Amino acid sequence: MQRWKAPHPPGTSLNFHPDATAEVVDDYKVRINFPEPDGLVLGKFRGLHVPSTRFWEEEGFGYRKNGTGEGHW
Amino acid sequence: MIDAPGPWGSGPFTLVEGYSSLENEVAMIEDRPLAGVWLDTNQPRTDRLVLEANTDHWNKERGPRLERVVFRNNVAHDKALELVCTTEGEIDIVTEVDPSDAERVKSSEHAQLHAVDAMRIVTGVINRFTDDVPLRDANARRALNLAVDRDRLVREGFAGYAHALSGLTPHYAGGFSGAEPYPHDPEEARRLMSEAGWPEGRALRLAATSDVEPVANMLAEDYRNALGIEVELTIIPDEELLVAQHTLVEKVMELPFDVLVHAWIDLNSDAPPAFIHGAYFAADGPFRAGPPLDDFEELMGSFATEIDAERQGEIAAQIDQFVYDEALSVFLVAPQALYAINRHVNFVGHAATFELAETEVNEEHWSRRNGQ
Repeated sequence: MQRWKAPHPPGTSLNFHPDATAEVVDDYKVRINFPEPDGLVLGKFRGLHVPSTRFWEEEGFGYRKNGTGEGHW
Repeated sequence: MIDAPGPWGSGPFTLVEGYSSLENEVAMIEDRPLAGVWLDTNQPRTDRLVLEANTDHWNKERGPRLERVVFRNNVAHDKALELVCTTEGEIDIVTEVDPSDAERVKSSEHAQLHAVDAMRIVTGVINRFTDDVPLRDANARRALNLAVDRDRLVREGFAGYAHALSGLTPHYAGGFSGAEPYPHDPEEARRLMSEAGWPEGRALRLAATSDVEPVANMLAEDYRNALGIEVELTIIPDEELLVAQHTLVEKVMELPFDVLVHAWIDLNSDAPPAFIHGAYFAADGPFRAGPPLDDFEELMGSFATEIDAERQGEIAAQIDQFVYDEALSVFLVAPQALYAINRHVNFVGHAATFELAETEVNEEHWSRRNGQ
């Protein structure tokens, strides 16, 4: 589910389990499957970016200037 | 044209002009499993950034209630404070008001002071790696806490706009232990430190970043007076901050302090150990300044896998009680976040972040006086 190694500025403590997967259920719903209980997941979602389609397809996290954009927010 | 990311969390609003970004470099704690943090190196932003209301936002009850928000990033903080206090139509909100400016705002013609109980703490990081002073001894760490006059710190250091801390969790957050702050007891502090065996003639090395220099000065005074030991105070120059951060996070080189005055935040107020206690004491914690602690790791393991919110809150309180009992930090204060707000703006502040979703302006506001 995570493409960056450390997708949040505060660091890897906010990472999801590396084996977590996400599936799109419908236009408004995503189901995330965790391989083990994660009691901190709501706090981790607090740092999750939910931008528009235009963001991902055009600017993202500085794709034109910074490749993957990792480390830029 | 928008050609850089940011700001975050603008769901109730749409970014239509400008950007406000973060540039970072990584600091590694461990490679396997991967543990690291990003260190802020630059905050490029346009002089002007404009948000417009996202009328399709899913949570209409919450907002947005403003049509348009303009961030004037090219106005210096002092100038912005002057403008919000003395004019209308220039600046409506100034963030990060220094407590020393609070009275100026309160007595101004056009601004009001808004104080938020925030998820912010200022503590002393105690270096438990060091061998030549007894800071692995809990009684020595208790002495460092008993020596602090927190009431004076709140009163004189923050003009009253802070709360004394007992542990790392502010009393208004989830998972608060209920403990009272360590009392100011200089005699007991001196006795405990003497028993712990602080070496004769060895000064206590106190360090601080420039943003908390006034706190460090007051702490140095407390330690000199209460413990009877000399204090060498080092204020880390801003241009050396990045190097100092790498040293603290990566833990490869010897830490050049006994106590580091350090400010930190949380991203929410529900479960502070996830972001605060873990950062200071967990094996993969960026600010850990001592060997990992088995009892702490066990508690954090239970906390991290607990999915019942009530039970997780109980474990969070146990964690805060544990760090209090072991005096793992010098627990100082939780500063309030202060805002200067135009009198016709109904600002809704939040504990963790600056958001404008619920904020609105009344009919007296300069932008609505023509019946808009």
